[in-house]
Parts: sequence; structure tokens; C-alpha cells
Amino acid sequence: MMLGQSEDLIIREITVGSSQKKCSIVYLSVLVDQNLVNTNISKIVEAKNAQEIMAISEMKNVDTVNEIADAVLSGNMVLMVDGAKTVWVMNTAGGDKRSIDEPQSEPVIRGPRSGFVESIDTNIALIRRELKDPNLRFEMHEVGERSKQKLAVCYVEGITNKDILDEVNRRLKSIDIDFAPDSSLVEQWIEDSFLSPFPQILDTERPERVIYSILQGKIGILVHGSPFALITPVTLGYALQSIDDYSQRWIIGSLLRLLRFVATFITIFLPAVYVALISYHPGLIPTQLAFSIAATREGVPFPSILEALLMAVTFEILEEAGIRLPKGIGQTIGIVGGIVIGDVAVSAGIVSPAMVIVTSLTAIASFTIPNYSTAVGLRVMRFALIFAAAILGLYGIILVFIMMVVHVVNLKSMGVPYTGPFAPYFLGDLKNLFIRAPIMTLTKRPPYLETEDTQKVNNGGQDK
Amino acid sequence: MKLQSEEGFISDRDIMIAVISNIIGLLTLTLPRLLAANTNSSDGWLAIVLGGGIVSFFAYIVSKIASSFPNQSFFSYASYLVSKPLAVFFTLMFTLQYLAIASFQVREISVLAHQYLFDQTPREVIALAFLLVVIYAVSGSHAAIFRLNVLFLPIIIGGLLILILLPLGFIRTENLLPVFQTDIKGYLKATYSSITSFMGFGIVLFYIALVKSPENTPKMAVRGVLVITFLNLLLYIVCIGVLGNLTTENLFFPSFDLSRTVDIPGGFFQRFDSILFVVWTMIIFTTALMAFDIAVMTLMMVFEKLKKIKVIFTLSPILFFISMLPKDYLELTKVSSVMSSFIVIYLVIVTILLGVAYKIKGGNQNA
Amino acid sequence: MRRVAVVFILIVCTVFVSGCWDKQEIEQRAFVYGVAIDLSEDSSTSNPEIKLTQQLIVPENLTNMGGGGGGSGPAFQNLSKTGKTLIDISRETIKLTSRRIDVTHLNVALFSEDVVKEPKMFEQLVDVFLRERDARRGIKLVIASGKAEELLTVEPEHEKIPAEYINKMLEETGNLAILDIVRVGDIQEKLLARESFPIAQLKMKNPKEIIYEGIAVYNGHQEKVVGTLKDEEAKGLSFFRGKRHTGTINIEVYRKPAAVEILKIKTKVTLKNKEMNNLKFLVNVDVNGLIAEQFGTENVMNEDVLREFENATREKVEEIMRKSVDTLQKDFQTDALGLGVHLKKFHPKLWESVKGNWDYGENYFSQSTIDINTDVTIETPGTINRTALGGGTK
Repeated sequence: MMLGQSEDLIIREITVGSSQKKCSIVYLSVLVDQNLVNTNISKIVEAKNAQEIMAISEMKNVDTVNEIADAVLSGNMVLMVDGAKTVWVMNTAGGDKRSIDEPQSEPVIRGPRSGFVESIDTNIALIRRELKDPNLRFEMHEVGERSKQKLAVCYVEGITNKDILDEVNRRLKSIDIDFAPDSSLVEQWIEDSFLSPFPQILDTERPERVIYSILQGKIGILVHGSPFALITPVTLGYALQSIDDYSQRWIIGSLLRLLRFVATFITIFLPAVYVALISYHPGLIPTQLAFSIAATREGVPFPSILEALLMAVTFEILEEAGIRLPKGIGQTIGIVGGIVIGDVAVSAGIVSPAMVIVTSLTAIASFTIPNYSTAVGLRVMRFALIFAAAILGLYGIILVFIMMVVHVVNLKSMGVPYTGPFAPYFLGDLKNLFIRAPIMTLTKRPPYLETEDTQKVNNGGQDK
Repeated sequence: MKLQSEEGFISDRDIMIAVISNIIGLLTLTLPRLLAANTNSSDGWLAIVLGGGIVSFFAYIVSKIASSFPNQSFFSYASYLVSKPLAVFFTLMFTLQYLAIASFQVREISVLAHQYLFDQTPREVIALAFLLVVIYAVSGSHAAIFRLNVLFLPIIIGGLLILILLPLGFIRTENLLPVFQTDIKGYLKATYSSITSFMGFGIVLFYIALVKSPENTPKMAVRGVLVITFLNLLLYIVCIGVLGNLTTENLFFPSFDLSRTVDIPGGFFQRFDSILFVVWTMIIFTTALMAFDIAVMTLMMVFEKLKKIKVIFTLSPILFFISMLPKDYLELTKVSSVMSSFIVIYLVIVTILLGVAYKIKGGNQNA
Repeated sequence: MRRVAVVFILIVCTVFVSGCWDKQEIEQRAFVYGVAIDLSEDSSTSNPEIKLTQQLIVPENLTNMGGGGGGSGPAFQNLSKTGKTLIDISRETIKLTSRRIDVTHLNVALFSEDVVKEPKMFEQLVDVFLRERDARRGIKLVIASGKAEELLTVEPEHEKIPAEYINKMLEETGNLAILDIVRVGDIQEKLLARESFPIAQLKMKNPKEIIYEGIAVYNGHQEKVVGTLKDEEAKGLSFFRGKRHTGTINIEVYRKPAAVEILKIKTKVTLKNKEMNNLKFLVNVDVNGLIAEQFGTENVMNEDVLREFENATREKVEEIMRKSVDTLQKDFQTDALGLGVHLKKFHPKLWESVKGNWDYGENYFSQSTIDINTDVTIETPGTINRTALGGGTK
């Protein structure tokens, strides 16, 4: 056999029931549910004819060697009957799985507590269980030349635009890797522009976010082995939304969303604007504030640009260290980094207190962005802006900002403009962008997706 | 892919927005000065209304002609209307004209930055940095340019509204009165000035080819012009009311200086003139962007085999060179007035010629 | 993708080639908060030299920040230099400070009396404030009696910076004897139109206090300040022009002093005839006020008493208005009342013929008759009727 000699490969020969036919059973002991295998075997032994074996469990017929090997590698039990032309494959997949847990990277206050796990079957089940739409479709692909991981494209037929779906399928076919340790590799293979710092595909750990998105006409991609589902196509505004916006009443939800937009702005621009104001345009700062900043900067040896870079890099290091450290030590690092470095640096006169305020405000603001990959992208922009501010002041900031906008308007996610619904569709969708209008008024699917069914509340053709 | 294909993708409203962003530009900054120089107290408002009216009329005719040839480029319908050699000439003249406009914008941004932000930074650097961003934007798709306009429009309009609203408290009626004290000649000159400031509508000639269904485009183009007329009117009145006629006449960029009269008490930004500088940079950027885009587009209409990226990189050094030609402010002002006269005359001639030909030949036969 | 790389490389190149021309860290700038302009001691009419005193902020001493060190010295530093032009002097000052002079936060400009009485000098000096891009259009212009630089050395009780003290004083509105403060931005129009206008004048009372001297009157045609209205004359002018400022006036009712606080002044000017040599203006003034202080013991709820108050106030208002009109017409011959503006606004034809000789040459302004008609309403008597019953039974 092509699977070779492996300790976990079990091949057993049995004779089946009354017909006394010789059969071989092949499976990988680590992948199967032992109980299921045992039950199957005993049933096979007792079976009187082929029909009875068919009735045992989920079963299909395959006939090539490659298919048999694939089936065994997926945790199936293969039954080869002497003399028969085809081989029966029984689903006995089992083994250890992580239980469903709360999502780690996107916590919400109010909302479901279940997050995706590594097993794609569980993940599909999570979606299926919540969305009992007969039109819900999962298209299975395989990813990884050698790992042969399952990948599911999920969408709702009748909502999703077929063009987008075809595009997604086309790109998925082009993937050429050995093994996808996480869905992020799939993401990088199929995204539109690999040079962009903006994520054109969104990842989420939350099943309800995937459901919500596919009902809007988007497409979800699940990869076996990764608890992160991918959502595409996404737009800039969508990346800043959180499911929390919808679980609060609309005024609060809207205010929270606005707050997040403001925080995003702070994350990107504050250090750069600070540098520009300090070294180019002190006339813009209110008189009293200007004087007190000047007083605090007296004796600081570095120009503001270096100071800003120093603090920003320090912060990035702290954050990176925080992720790598074991959970217990994380707290300590927070204290050492935040209090000790910040405070001591100020009293040693290396940085000015104003800069510490700016840096920490920026850092805190960056955590309001619900999605990690978006936040990281925006943090990169921040450095570009600090440089621009150091060279051309406010003018530099504007130019970089315009460049960012030019980049974003040229960007597409699965062929859909990244700036939708700001542009080109302008007004229609704005009530769910900056603010979150009352849930009753959100009856249309996003027009930029050109969905087949535009009405969100579908009465099934009955009374209107 | 089929979704959001590149040509025939923009809507009527995008044209309106493009017209708005293209007309608001440098001349909006200087218009109050030009008007105040020729009229007494606040009489210039009549010139704006008249200018806006005349331009709307032209904009209607131009876009009517262009929209009756849906999804055809200017060059192709001009060839049909007025024979091919003449169309080549027209198109190339437009290339030159829009190249000049773009380089004028590039130059003026450095003047503006020098006046309000920088002392020593060489103007070449300011202009070059700006030009690079323009090049980057032009090398993207046309659709992206329109999306950019849509994104910037709220910022631009919002900025202008702030500029108009904040100084309202500083208006003195004594600056606005008396009314109708200007002689006819003054009105004529002022109206001419206001017409030159509205010339940005010329872009519809080229961009209508990209509109999916251009039936309503003439109406939208006119609406765009009217929006600007209204904004210009408000801006002018606030300018005169706050600064006074004589001051307005003696400021280089009266609309900009308007923002310097107001202090925001207790705000984080005490002076909002630099904040408005942000808005003006965007305004000038959109104008420069579209002008350069059309220059590239018209050149490629005539020489179809050229590659866009090559055209851009050939034109940009020329553009930069032209923009650095005028020696000082006086020359720049002269160039600006000669250029705007040329644009007005040329656009009128083209419109009339095309209009007459359109009447004779009776619309589009191969559509 | 390659074009993106090319653009990126170009931008990176500009970054490194360019450097940072205008960059100047905030702590390396010397912020000017107030300036004073005097005539230099050794200046003559043929060779006028000016002396510019700049008040620079010393930030370390201004705030309590920065732990040890600083905090002891004064929060400001006055630098004086003489020269021909302001910019010239200002550049000279850089050598003294080793820092770049930054005028973005300049708030107050003081001109000494001798400077503004020199013809044309004022407008020449104001030019630089308007032309300088960093300067705000909101810089307050004030005249100083005596030496302007002395005002910048005042040591106020509550403020650390003299210029800030002056600035706050000018922003206060509860004094009838001052008008709207003249800002650089407003003055350009007036200078261009050769209009005459009033401008506040300050005086150093003692080393710790600055007070209002009165209102200086600038004549647009002579291009200099022609005189100063003081005390009641200055208050009178407020009733012609002042909209923002309110304050109290002292009156006598039943031979006892009382003070009326003016809440609102509404002035309306009408032109009665069109004879150029004898223009007749009627000035209607509506004054609303309340009784602020009363030394007498009359019951102000009584209608007669109230009328008496109103009459006394009216007489007083008319008296002080008359005083300032007389001074302006006879002594200064300068229209600081804004009558010229009124003509320009409502009678443009007439204005065309008189504007050349309005408060200059023929001086139609001095020849015109100004009638004043006042109407006073006391809105409330304050919160009490009276504090003592006294002998009066009213």
C-alpha cells in the first residue's frame, strides 16, 4: 500500500458473517473513534449480505488507490471485500478535539460566547446550527499539496452575488502550498493586493459574525485546523465594526461606533500631528498649552521626531513581548513597561511628559479597533505619518493622508471597491456605517455587494 | 471580472461630484479679490450669480452634446462631428490646456504653503512632493479617481461650510452696504472673472464617456455648477462682510485669510487656518488630479498605442518644468489670467463648433 | 507593482534629499507675547528710529512643571533694540536670544503716544503685523501714554506675564470708557479707506497697575492720532459706537449720588438734510439700565422715583455725549463717531461728494449739527427696594 509501514496503520483481516467472505479493514488508529470502529467491525462480522453492511453507517464507494489512501488519511475506515471491485469507506473519524471555547482575540460584552475551534466539522456545525436556511451552502475544497486540509466556502444561495463566488473559487484553486497552519496563509494567497497594509479579507473567531456576514451577501471561508474563519469581500468601514454595536440599543451602538472611528483617527494621526505641531507649527497650539509644552520639553535631548519614534517603537516592543510572554508574566511586563519606563524616562529627562501622554493615548486608542489585523495595518501607517510630519510638517501629513486615500480607493477586495459604502455608493448605506441606525431600519443588504436578493427581511413572497 | 468593470461604471451623481470638486479650486481662493477689485462693497454677488448662470448654460450644452454619444470618447465623437484632423487638433489643445492647468495647481500649492506654512522649505520640494502624490493617483484607475472625489467631497464641503459659518459673527453690515453702486463696466469685468473661476466644468466633455447611462448627466452637471455658485456666493458675502471690500481687494488669498480672522477659543487648535490648509490641499489636489488625468487621457485618445504609465512618466517632468517656469508672484498672476482667458475662449469656441455641427448632423447615428 | 516601487523610491529620495528646512523644536523658539513700540531717544524727524521691545516668554518659569531648577526667575524677558524697520529689529533680537523668534502667539501690540502722533508712522508699523504670515489677525492694538515699553514691565499681582495682564484687561467688557478693542485684522479696512477711528489708550498708574487713560482718536487723513478722549468724554463715545461694552455711570438723584448700570445701548443715526455745509444728524439712543447703587433712601418701587432716576440718567447721558461730540468736532475735528460710515452706507451719493473733505480740509464733519435724543428705561431696581428707610417717606 502507498501508506507504507507506519505503526499507527492498522490492517486487519476478518471474515464476514454467513457468506464467509474474506475482508480487510484498514484504518489509522490515531484518527478514528475506537468505539465506532469496534461497533462497525462487529456489525460487519454479523452482516449477512452487502445490503446489511451498507446500512451500518455513513458509507460511500471508492475505487482508486489514491482515493482509498485519502480516505484512510481522513480518519475513515476502509473495508475491502475479497473479489469486489469497489471499496467501502465508512466514516469513523474521531480522536481528540478541543471543546468549543470563548473567542480569545475578539471579546464582546454581550453576544454569544462560542468561538470556532480547529475542527472544520465542528465549525460547520456551529454555523449550520444557528442558521437553519435551506439555501445555506458549503462548497468543499482542499488546501495543501501534502496536508490535504479541508476548506469550506460558505454562502447563502440566492443572496450572494455569483460573480464574487466564482472569483473566490477561482482564487482558491490557485493556492499552491504544502500545508496551511492557519487560515491566514489562505488569506494571503487570495487577497487582491499583497502590498497593502490594509487587510482585504477579514478574519474572525465568532460564528455569529460569519453568519451575519454571509446573510449580508458576503462569503465565509473555513479552513480545517484554524479557528479563524475568513470573511470576504470586506470594506474599510466593515473592518471597524463589532458585533457589540448590534447588541446595544441603537443610540449607544452608534455612539460606540463613532467613538471607534475617533479612536482610529487618533491611532493613526495623533503622534504625527504632535510632531508636526511641536516642530513646525507651535502657533496652532493654544497659547497656554504651547508654553507648558515648551517648558516640559526644556532639557529633553532629542528632537520630537526621535522622541516620538523612540516611544512608538518601545510601545511596539512591549506589545510584541506581551504576546510572546506566558500569561502570568504579562502583568509584570505591563507594570515594568508602562509605569517604570514611562515614569523614569520622564524624570530622567529623556522624553517629555507630553510625549508619554500622546504615546499612551495612541496605544489605548489602537485597542478599540475590534480586529487585530486591521489594527496592525493602521499602526504601520502611523510610522509613515510620523516621518512625513518630521519632514514637511502638517503638509507632509496631508500628502501622506491623500496617498493613503488614493491607495484605498484603488484597493479592491474580491473585485469589490474597498471604500464601499463611502464610495461609490455614497448615501444609501451610510446609516449603518458611522452610526448604527435602529435595527428596524436596516432592511437592505449592502448595495456594493450587488446581492441577488436585496431585501434583508424576506417575507417569502407572502403578505406584505 | 464582470463586477464593477472599469469603463461605463460611474453614475450621474459622480459627474456632479467631479464637477464640484473640479470647480472649487485655486480660483475660489482668489475670486473674492478679483470681484472686489471691480465692484463696490458687496455688489460682486450679482457677478457670481450671472457667471454661474452663464456657465450652467454652457455646461448644459456641452454635456448634452457629450451625453448623446454614450460611452464614446471625446475624440471619437469630435471626429464624427467636425472631421478627424480638426478633432486631433482639438484634443491635443485640450491636452496642453489641462497640462497647463495641472502645473498651475502644482505651482500654486507651493505658493500657498509658502505663504501660510513654511519659510525656508524650497518650493521645488513642496511642489515635487505634491506632484508625486498626483502621479501616484493618476496611475490608478479612473474609477478610483471618482471614488476619491466622493470621499473628499464631504471633507471639502464641510471645510468650506466651516469657513463660511465660523466667521459669521464677525460680519459687519457696514461692509455690505450700500448696494448697487457699481457701474456696468465693473459688473462686466467681475462677471468675466467669475466665469473664469467656473471653467472646471469642461471635464464633462471627457468624463461623460465613462458614465453608464448618461441621460441625466446634463442636469447633474448643471446642478454641480449651481452648488458651486451657491457656495461661492456665500463665501464671497462672508468675505466682504468680515474683511470689507478694500481689504479683500488687497489680500492675495482672501478666502484663506478669512480663516485667520477667527480664533477658536479654548479649542485644541487655536487657529484653524492651518486646518483649512488641509482642506485646500485636498481641493487643489482633486483639481490637479483630474486635470492631469484628462491630459493623459486626451493624449491617449489620439495616440492609441501608447501605454498609460509611459505617458504619465513622460508628461510629469514636463509638468514639473512648466510649473517652475514663472519667476515670481507677478508672473504667476499674469500667467494665470492669460491661461484662464484662453480656457474660456477655447471652451466657448469648441462648444459652439461642436454645437453647430451637432445641429447640422443631427445627433449620433452609430449609437 | 513596479510603478508603486518606483514612486516609493522617489518619495524616499525626496525625504533624504530634502532634510527639514523649517523645523524648529518648540523649546528652541522664543515666543513673543507682547510688543511695545517707542520712538528711539536719539531719533529725529528727519531720521526717525523706532525702538521695539519684545516680551519673550520663559516657559520654565511660567509653569510649575519640570521639578527642580527654574521657577524662581521671572516668566518673561524684555528685549529692546532700535532700528529702522520692525522686522530688521526683530531679526537683530535673534542674536540676543540664540533662539528663533516666534510671533504666532503674539497678542498685544502697544504703541507709545509719540509714535502714533507722528504722521504715517502708525500705518507703516501696522503693515508688518498684517503681512507677517505667522501673526494672527486678532492681535490687539493699544496706545500707551508715555513710554510703551514701561507698560511691559508692570508687575501685576495675579499674572506672571505683563502682556497677559494687559491682554486680559482688554478682554474685559464691563467698562463704558473703552470701546471694542481694535484688532489688526479690523484696522486694515479702516486704514485703506482712510477712515478715522477710536483706539484704546492705557497708562501705567503705579508699578503694579495699569489703567485706561481714555480713547485715542486716529484721524484717517492726517494719518495720526489727534488726541485722546478721557473719562466722561470717553464714556460718551461709547453711547455712539459701543455695542459690546457696558458699565456704570454716576448720576445724582435727589442730590444724592447713585450709580446706574447700563445694560444695553441701542444707537440709531438718521440724516435730516443734505446740505453739505450743514449736515444735520439726529442720534437716537435707547439705553436700558438698572440701579446698581443708591446712596439715597427713596423707594425705587415708586413710579415718581423711578422717573426721577430715568431723567437723571438721561440728562447725564446726553451731557457726556454732548461733551465728547464737542471735543471731537471742535478740538480734534475728527469723526470717531462713525457718521462717515453711516453716510457711506446709506447715502453713498452724498458721501462721494463729501468724502474728500469729511474730517479733513473743509471738514464737513465739524460743520455738521448733531442732535442727540436719549430714551432711558430702568428695567429693574436691582434686587432690593432700599437698604434704609431714612427720613424720606416716599
